[in-house]
Amino acid sequence: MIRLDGVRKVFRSDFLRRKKEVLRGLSFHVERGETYALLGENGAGKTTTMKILLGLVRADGGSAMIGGISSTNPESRRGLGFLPEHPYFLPHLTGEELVRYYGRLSGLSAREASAATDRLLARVRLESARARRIRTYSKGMLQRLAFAQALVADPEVLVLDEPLSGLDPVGRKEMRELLLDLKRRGTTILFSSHIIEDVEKLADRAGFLTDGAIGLEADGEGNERIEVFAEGVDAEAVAAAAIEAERIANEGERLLITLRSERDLPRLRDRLRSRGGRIVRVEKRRETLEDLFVENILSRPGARDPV
Amino acid sequence: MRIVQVALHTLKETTRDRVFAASILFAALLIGGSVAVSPLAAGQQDKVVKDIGLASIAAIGVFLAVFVGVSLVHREMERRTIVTLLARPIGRTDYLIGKYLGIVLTLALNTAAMGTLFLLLVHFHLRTLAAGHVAAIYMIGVELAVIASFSVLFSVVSSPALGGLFTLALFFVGHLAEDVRTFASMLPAGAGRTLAEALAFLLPNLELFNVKGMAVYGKPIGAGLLLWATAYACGIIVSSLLVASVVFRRRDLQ
Amino acid sequence: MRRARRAETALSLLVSLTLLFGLNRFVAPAAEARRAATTLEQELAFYPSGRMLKPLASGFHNALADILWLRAIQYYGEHRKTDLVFDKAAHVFRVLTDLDPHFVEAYRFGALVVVEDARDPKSGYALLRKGILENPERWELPFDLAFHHFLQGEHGWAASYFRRAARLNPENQRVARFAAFAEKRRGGLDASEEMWREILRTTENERFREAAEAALLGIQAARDTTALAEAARKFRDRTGIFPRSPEALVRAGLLARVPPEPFGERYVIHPVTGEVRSLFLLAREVRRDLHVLQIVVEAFREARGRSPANLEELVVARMLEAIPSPWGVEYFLDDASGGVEARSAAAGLDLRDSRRGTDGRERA
Repeated sequence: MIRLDGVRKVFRSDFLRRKKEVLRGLSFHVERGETYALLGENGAGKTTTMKILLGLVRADGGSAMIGGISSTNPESRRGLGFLPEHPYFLPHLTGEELVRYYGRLSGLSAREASAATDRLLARVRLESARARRIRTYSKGMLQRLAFAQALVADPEVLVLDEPLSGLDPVGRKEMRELLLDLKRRGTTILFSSHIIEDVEKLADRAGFLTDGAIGLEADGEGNERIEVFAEGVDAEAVAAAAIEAERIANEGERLLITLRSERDLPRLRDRLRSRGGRIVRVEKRRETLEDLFVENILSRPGARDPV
Repeated sequence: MRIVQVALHTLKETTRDRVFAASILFAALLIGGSVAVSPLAAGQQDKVVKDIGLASIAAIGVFLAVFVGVSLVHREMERRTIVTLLARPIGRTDYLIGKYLGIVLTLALNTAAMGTLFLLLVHFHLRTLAAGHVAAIYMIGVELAVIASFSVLFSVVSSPALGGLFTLALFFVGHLAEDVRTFASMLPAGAGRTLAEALAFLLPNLELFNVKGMAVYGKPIGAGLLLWATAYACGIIVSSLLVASVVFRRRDLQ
Repeated sequence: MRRARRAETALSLLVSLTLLFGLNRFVAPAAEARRAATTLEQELAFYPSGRMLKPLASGFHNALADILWLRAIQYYGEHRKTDLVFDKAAHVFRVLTDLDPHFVEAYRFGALVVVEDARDPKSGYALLRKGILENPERWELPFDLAFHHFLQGEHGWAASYFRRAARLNPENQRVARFAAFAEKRRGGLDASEEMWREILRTTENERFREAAEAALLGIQAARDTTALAEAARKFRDRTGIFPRSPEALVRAGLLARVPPEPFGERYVIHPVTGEVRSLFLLAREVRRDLHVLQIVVEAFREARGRSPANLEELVVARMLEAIPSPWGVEYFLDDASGGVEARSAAAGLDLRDSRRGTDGRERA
């Protein structure tokens, strides 16, 4: 449903004329109905990635597609709703005027747009403020309005930039429930976050944006790993055995081999045997997203110290 | 059509703006004032009221076209209100054209309002209403549409302050286009002169739309003139919006 | 990718400019042809006084003066081709020189137009005097002033200003000689001719040159006219009637050959009075008169709400001092057209004979 391939983006800092390569060969895809979380530090380029996907920013290389249509084509956004991190809306309009306007721009008829507006404003609990000008809205109201406009055209794809940050606990719970509801209905969701807990609860898969590309992808709940402790062989021998081990390390006298899947286990056992080694212990471990986050992002050279 | 949607909403936005209401009030004052002053005009009342009336409509229109036009697009880009809008299935060019049409509608409304006031005045107070007066107001509207296209172009290309300056500059230069051409033709013959003349030939000639004098002196303003002038205006508008659209499509909206 | 974007912008600019060029070349002229250009008169309504205008123009008065200069040239050109009425000229040049007091050319050309074409010597003198006050070091200004006085027959003033010019420009001998001419109250065509030749020699101004050339032709015509008139009188003494044409004089042996009229027309001799005139100059005077009379008639219409019965009524209404009648030409009000027409008592002479414009060029 959403596909990015080799996307590159360079920013020029005008003052010092420095070029900053924000995205280098970014690739990931989101299947229909899937919920994908884009993780990364602040400034890693999550928002830029989304904006490229939405045609708001032009990529310098690579391609971005929604439903098979290039992001530079407005048609790609036909079944799409977007919730920016800091929503701003035309202040002179009232809440309901705005939602209706956006509905019309998305291709709804006047009647459809009105009906959708009523429905959504009720859903996000902005009924009472619907006729007030947006410039009078509080931040929480703006957030809810943003959600309403994102959903006005009953989108197949929803893109959200940090949807849960800045909300109070009640708001976050509400938002999570709304998202889960949409997920159940089959909406494809792409969102960015740096709150692991939320990601774990919502996402099917997660991608870590580091150094301008997706360095690692993981399941929503983290990665399941099989850890095999072996004796009687050394690391080179195992490596030469061309087993798809994610990691081979020495743990004291033993060798620790980390496999991605249980299916690799029989093959490993055979190989070890042929080299004169044997399996001592097998552990199933789940690397939580948090572990991965710390490992991948914070442990990069030049990364900040965790606060 | 989406362009229409954007246009209508722009109209809504501008008419809710205080500037718009203020401009109509101001125009009413000016036109009314000219009537009050006219007894001092020593027999030239007719001419004075008409001259000032038409000039006011034009001047206020220009002010609106520059002020509103330049800030409109830029404001939306600056305030990021444009982000959620363009995340819809609407192309940048459509958006820009919609915005432009909204501005034109605003100016048309404004001109029509002031124009009607003027015509009523001429008819009831001076009793010398002629088709030429209506034609003159139409032409003012046409010129304003052209200036609005400049405003949109400059608002996309630069900041409101600079953009406003550029638009005003182009307004003045446009009215002196023929003089610039004459200047150029008076240069010593040579490559410099040819270049200057060619450059001068690229200027939009806004004086073409000035039929206020013809209206006041009762000279007939033919349909042919209106048609050709409208065609000319359309051409300039297309050329401005073309460049504006291309530049706008390039912009990254952060 | 970035290069493609730049190319796109460049291309759009190119298309846009080409479109503009095309518009200005093909569409604009069609519109312009149907439009009556803003007359200078209207614009002048917005320039009440140069002195008031200057502070308003704040720093741009030179540019404004230049624009006004262009307009003035346009005005002159337009009216020279049409009605030869230049009543706004004095005002224009006054404002112009208020805006830019050191615009010497404006004083010179302005005075020329005002004195010669607008027939308003007083305003012309005032203009030049202002110029002299603002630019005391320039010899051309008192020279011009002297010259105009001279042509108007005011020799005292002419002499005084010639002397002044001579003081400012001692190298130029002729200026001193003109002072002498003026002092001795020697007028005549010879002195005028020499002065015009001097102008022709020293000026860089196109229009001054044109005026000088036309004046020299006029002097030529004046000489011929005098000679022809004398010959015509002799003819009358001999035969009792005036000759029909200069050719008759040649046939009668009173003249060696027919002098060519300097403007390409011919000389005509009035059968009753014997007055000789260059047809070109006569036609020009008639045209001027017609335009002036037309203006007076229209003023009458506006004031009284009806047309005058005839031109005499204009005199009675004191809107006109007298009805002119150069070379016996009769002016009358045509009921059919509502305009003023001219006819000549001299049989067989059509004043619309002259196909040349007053600037000497063939009219289409």
